[in-house]
Amino acid sequence: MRLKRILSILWVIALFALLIGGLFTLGNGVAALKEAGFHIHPVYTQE
Amino acid sequence: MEGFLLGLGSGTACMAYCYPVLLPYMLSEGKDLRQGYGRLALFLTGRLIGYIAIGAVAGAVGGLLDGEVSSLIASGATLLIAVLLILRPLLRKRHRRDALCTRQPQPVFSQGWYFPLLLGLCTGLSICPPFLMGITRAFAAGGIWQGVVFFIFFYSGTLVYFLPLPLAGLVGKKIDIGFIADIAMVLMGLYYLYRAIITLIPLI
Amino acid sequence: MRVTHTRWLLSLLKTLPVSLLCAGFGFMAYMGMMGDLGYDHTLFGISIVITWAFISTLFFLMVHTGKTDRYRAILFIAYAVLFSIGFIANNIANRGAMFFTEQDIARCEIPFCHIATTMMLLPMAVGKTLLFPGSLSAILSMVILAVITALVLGRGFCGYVCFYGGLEDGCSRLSKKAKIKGINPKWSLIPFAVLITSMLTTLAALSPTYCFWACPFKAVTEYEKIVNPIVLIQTIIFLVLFIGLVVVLPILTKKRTQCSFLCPFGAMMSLCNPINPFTIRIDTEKCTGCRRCIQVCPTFSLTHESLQTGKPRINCTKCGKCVDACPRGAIHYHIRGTCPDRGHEAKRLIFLHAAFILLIAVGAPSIADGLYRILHLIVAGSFV
Repeated sequence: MRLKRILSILWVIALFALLIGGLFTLGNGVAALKEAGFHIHPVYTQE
Repeated sequence: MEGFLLGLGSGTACMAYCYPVLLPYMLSEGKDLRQGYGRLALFLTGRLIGYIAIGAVAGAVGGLLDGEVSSLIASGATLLIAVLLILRPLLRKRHRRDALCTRQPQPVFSQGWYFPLLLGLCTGLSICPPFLMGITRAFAAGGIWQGVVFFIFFYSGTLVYFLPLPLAGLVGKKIDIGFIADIAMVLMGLYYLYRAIITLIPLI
Repeated sequence: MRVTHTRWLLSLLKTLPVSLLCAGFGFMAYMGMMGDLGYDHTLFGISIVITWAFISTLFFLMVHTGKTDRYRAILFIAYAVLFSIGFIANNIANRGAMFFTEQDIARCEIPFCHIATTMMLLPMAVGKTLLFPGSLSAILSMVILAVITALVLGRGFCGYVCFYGGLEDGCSRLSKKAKIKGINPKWSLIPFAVLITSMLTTLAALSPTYCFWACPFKAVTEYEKIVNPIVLIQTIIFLVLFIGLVVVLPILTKKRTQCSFLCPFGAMMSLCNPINPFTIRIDTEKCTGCRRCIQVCPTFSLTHESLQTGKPRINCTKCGKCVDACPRGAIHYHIRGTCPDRGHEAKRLIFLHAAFILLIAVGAPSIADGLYRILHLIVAGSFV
């Protein structure tokens, strides 16, 4: 029970870290995805 | 080998064409894995029969069918898919107890075994782009026997992408996946109805 | 008297983090946005201050009174209305009209919304491709935000961050009593079917089918110019869905019917609820079975079975309506893995902080923008 409680507190802390970190590094995330090759499908970008 | 690799490479396109038809149906039919693979086998058999029919007609007339005729066949098949998908959940009596509860082994080919066969046949007749690519390369293989062998290997390559499908039926501990899948089948049927109508109207 | 003062001070202290965060975002928006958009300095500054005061006050009231839903609803409804005003005004300012044309599609200038994320996931996984005629950066940002929100809030997004939900939430509170009752909760599984169908048909058609065929919120954002019979049919469908599911049925049922019976994004968020730590729990020993919570739940998330198991269904939006409505105080916010009998208020606050951080990041700019448009209307006689 105690271990479960510690794990769930860590889980919540990790989520807050993800939330705040994610919001502040959103631009980096977008750049990384572009670098990885994500693109708009040619059906929309080709004439 | 080339045919098998081509089939493997076309797999994602096969998924895009066949999953919309097959996934809601597999989800709606229940959790029994043996029956799930049985249904998949029937669907793939129907699909192969459809492909062979188109291929045989094309071979007999000495080339791929004229644009209008093949569009008519494909649209008709799409319309039939739509009707099957819409009517199946509406007409089928939902079993009150899930098969897993009965503790008895269920037959691999359950009641209504003709439905996946028919669905597969119509999917085969709808002449999707991966099939067009496969049959074009088969014709170019030089000789009927080489073409047939090429196509069989091509078809086998595409099968890999269908293997995980029956596992989808295992989803649904927390929610009534059968009901969701029935609604999805009707919605998918409406989509195929729209596709059939917009391709049939210019032909008529 | 001293106890009251101490309570007030404690509530103010608990509000401080959210208030400071909102002020910080507001300041960044003030410094960053004005030049790009050509906004009037004074009016924009005023709208940001009003936004900060509005959000901070409502959060303070949530903390101080212990009630969640009534203050959440005020914020949520205002957010939805102001978002629509700001969005439409921006379209008119940039494009001269509310509708978009095929040229806008060809130039990939269609704004992206979170609902379309559901249709992007399969093509992204299969081919690293996005099937939407919009800005690549904007779409990728929304997708990343959607993933973060799914992990952090689960379907709590639908209760706090969705800029459409407030419209139905508002309509559902217009009548005192429900005229249509006894709807079978199983129909709230339809969004999962819509999710599956829209994902698969988008892959098959290489086009976001839900956006073109079923999204009711085009009525308050933007829609395609009617140039052929197919677009006319699409327009009729979305108008019928908007009037039916967003306005009329919520008034008649006092439920959020679009969220319950259609929205695929809500279905996707529901699938993330089981892996989210925040949830609601019913103390089955305290519960008397009065079913008040089942009556008030806007998304059919509580059933007779919930009262026996103590847990809501998978589609709970964590709005807090049941928590506030329970006459015995038997329903609480809960964090999975912790003791269900203790720390109710702390757990509620932790969840509210997560929800408000996202609300401020996503919603505060829209609230400020909508307020700016209204102030501009008052001062200059036009929204743009």
